[in-house]
Amino acid sequence: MAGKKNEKPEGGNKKSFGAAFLHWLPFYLMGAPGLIYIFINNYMPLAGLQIAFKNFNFAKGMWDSPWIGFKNFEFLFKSKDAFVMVRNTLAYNIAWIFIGMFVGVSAAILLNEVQNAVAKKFYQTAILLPYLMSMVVIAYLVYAYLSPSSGLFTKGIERLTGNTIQFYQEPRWWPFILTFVHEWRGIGFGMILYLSSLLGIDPGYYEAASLDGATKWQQIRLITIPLLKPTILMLLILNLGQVFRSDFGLFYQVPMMQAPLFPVTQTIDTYVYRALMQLNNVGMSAAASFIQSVVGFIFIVTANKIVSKLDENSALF
Amino acid sequence: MKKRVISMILTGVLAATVLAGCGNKAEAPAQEGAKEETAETAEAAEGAEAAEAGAAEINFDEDPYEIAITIIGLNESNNDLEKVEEAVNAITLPKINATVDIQPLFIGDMGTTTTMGIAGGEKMDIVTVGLVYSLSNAVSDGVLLPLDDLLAERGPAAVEVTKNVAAAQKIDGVTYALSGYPYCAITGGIAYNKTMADEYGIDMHDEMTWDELTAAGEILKEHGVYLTKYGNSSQLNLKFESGFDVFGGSGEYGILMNPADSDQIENVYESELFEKFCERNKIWFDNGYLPADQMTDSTSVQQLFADQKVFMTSTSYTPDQIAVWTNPNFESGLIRMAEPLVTTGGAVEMMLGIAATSERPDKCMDLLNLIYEDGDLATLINYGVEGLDYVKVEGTEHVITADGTPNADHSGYYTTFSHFGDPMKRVVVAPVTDQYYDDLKSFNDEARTSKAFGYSFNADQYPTEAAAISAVLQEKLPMLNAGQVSDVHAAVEDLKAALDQAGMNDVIAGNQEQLDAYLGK
Repeated sequence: MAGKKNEKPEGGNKKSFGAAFLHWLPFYLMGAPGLIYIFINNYMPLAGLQIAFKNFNFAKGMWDSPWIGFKNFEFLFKSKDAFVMVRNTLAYNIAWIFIGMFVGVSAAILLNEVQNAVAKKFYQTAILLPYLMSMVVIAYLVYAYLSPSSGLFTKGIERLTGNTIQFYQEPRWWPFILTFVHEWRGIGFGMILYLSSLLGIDPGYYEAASLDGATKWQQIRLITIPLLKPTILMLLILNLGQVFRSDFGLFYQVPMMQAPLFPVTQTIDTYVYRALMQLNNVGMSAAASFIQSVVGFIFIVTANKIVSKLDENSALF
Repeated sequence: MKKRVISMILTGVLAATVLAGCGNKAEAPAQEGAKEETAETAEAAEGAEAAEAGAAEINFDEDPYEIAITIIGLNESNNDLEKVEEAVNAITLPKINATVDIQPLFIGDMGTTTTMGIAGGEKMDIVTVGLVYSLSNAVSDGVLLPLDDLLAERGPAAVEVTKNVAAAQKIDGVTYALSGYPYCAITGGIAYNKTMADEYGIDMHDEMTWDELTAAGEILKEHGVYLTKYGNSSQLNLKFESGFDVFGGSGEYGILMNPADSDQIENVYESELFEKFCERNKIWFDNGYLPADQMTDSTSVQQLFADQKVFMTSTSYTPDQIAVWTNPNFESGLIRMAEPLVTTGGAVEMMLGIAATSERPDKCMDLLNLIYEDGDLATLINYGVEGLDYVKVEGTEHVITADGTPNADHSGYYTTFSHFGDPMKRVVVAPVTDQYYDDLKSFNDEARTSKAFGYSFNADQYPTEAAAISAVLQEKLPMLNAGQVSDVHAAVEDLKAALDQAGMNDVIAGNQEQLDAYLGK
C-alpha cells in the first residue's frame, strides 16, 4: 500500500529491463513449476465461481447455463436454522482458533523442553497420531465412551451417581465434547509449525538469560513467546480465512447424525450436505461454497489490516 | 508490494478466465460434431424407416459399436463381468452388430457419476435413471436424449412391452426413458419372520391393523425379540404401510392419500394419520418393542432381520418381493398393507435411457429393443451366466437360484437394483415359483390406477424449497419415526410449522396446479 516505508528501491529503475530480466531469469525458471501448479490448481477454477449464479445444466455446461442471479443462495437462508448454523460455525471456529493456539503453543513449548531425543520423537509421533485417523473411526471411539448402553464413560457415571446421561440426546454436552475431540485430534498437527519456529530460536538467548538468573517461566514469557509472535499471528490470520468452513467429519460423524443435537452440531457444511444430498444441485452447492470463500476472504483481509496496524512486520501482505 | 500482489492476482484471474474460455471454444466443435452425427444417424434411421417402418435394418458392414450400459448395485465385486459381457456379445453381435461394456455403478453415486460423466465427455450410452436419481431430475439436468423418434424407428418390442406405462415415461409429452417395471403395480407391505410367527402363534395376514401389530409386539417382547427397528431414519416410513401416491421420496411435494379416487394433493405431515403413526411408534418404543439404542446403532434393519433380532420390517409389496427377504436360517413371509396401485412412482422406479452424449443413439435403441424382445438376453443381463452365476431349480420351468454356484456370495455378477426387459419373458428367483407370471398379471389387473398416473411433478421452480424441506425432514423426522419424543403432538406441530416455513405448502400448491393442468382441468 502507499505509505509503506520499507519498500526497497528495485533494480529495474537503474538497469535496463533486458538486463534485469536476464539476471532474474534463472529464478523465474526455478519458480515456474510451482507457479504453473498454483495457476492451474488455484486460479483456473476461479472461472467456475459463476456456477453459483447459474441454473447449472450438465448438458449445456458451465458457460451456456442460464444466469439466475442470487436464487441459488436462497436456500441457505430460507430455513429458520440459518441463524443456528452460522452461529455454530463461527462460534466453534473462533473459539477453537484461540483454544488451538493456546494448546498448540503450550504443547510445542513443553515438547521443546524435552531433552531426550528418542522421547521427543515418541511424544511428537504419539500426539500427531489422532490427526491421521479417519473421522468415522474417531466417531466410534467417542461412541465407545458415550454409548447409552455400553459406553465406558456413561457406565462409569452410572456406577458413581446412579444416573444415566443420554449423551446422544442432550445437546448441552456437545460443545465440550466436540471441542475436546477437535483439540485431541488437532493438537499434534497444530503444534508442528510452532515447534519448528521454536527450534529456530538461537539457544544463546536462553544461555544469556539463565546466566542473568532468569527462571524457566521468565524465559518462556520474555524470550519464547515474543519470538513466536510472528508465527502465531500468521497462523491466526490464515485460520481466520477458514471461519466460515467447518470440519464436516467432526460435526457430521462424531455426533452420529443425531437430530436432537442439531442445535449445537449443525454447521453450514452439514446443513448444505443434508439439504442437497437428495437434490444433487450443483448450483446451490457452489453458492454455499462461494459464500464461505467470500466471508473467509473478508476475514483474512480484515485481520491482516488490523495486524498491520498493530505491528507492520507481522502482517502477511 | 501489496499493489503488486493484488495486480498479480487480478492478472491471474483474467488469464484464467481467458484460458478457460479458450478451452470451452476448443470443446465446442467436438460437441457440434456429436450433434451432427446424431442428426446423421437420425437421417440414416429415417432412410431405414422409409424402407420398413418399425424394424430398422442393421448395418453389418461397419465395425461393431461398443455400447456402455450401467448396472446399479452396492459395490459387489462382479468377478464374472467379462464372462457376462462375452455371453451378451454372442447374442448382440449377430443380431444388432454391437457389443456391450457393462459398467457396475454404486447406487449412491448414480446422480453424480451420470451427470459428471456427461459433463466431462466420458463415453456413456445407456444410462440408468430412477432409484436415487429421478427421471425428472435427469431430464432437467439434460442428460437424456428424447426417444420418441428412435422408438418409432427401431423400438417396436420396447414400445409393446412398456405400453401400459408409456405415459409415465414421458416428461412434457416427450419419452425420455424406458421403464424397468412395465408391470408396475405396487403397494406397501411388511416382510416378517414366518418361522418365528408360527412358533409364537402370531397370525400375520394382509392389511393387518396397527393394534394387531402392537399385540404381536407384546408377544415378541416376551421372547426377547424386537418387533422392528426404524433407526435414525428420515424417510416417510408410513408410506410403506399405505397405498399413497407419493411425490418426492418422502412426500416432500405432497401425496395423494386416496390416489384412485381423488386427485387432491395433500401434506401428509399435516394429516391425522401421520400423527397417529407417530403415536403408534411412541407406544412401540415406550413398550420396548423397538431397540433402545436404535438411533445410534447403525446396524441396518435388514441385517437385524437376517440375524433374527427383529421380527419384521416394512417394505414395498410386489409378487416377487419375497425373494429379497429370503434367508437360509428361517422362512420369510410377506403381507400387503394396502390395495395394489399403479402409480407413476412405481413405473419410474428404475428406468433405462440414452445419454445425451451417446455417439450412436441408434445402436443404443437397438440394444434396448432387443433386451425387451429377447427373454434370454434379459435373463443374462439380469442374472448372469447359467451354471456360473445361477442354476435352474429342478422341477421348475423358469425358477433359478444362486445357491450352490460361485455367485452365491455376491461375488460373481449382481444387478441388485437394475431390472432389464420384459418380466414375462425373464426367469424368476426362488422362492418365487412358476406361479409368478400369473400372479404378476392378476396383481396388475387387480390394481387400481392413481388419478395422477403419467404425471411427474416438475420441481425445477422449487430448488430452494426442496433443499429446505429436505433439511427439516432430516432434522425432525428421525425422532418421530423412532417414537422417541416425549410429546408426539408437540413434535408433530413443530415439524408442521418448520415444513410450512420451508415452503412445503407452496410447493404442494404448485404441484396441484401442474397436476390440474396435466389432467386438463
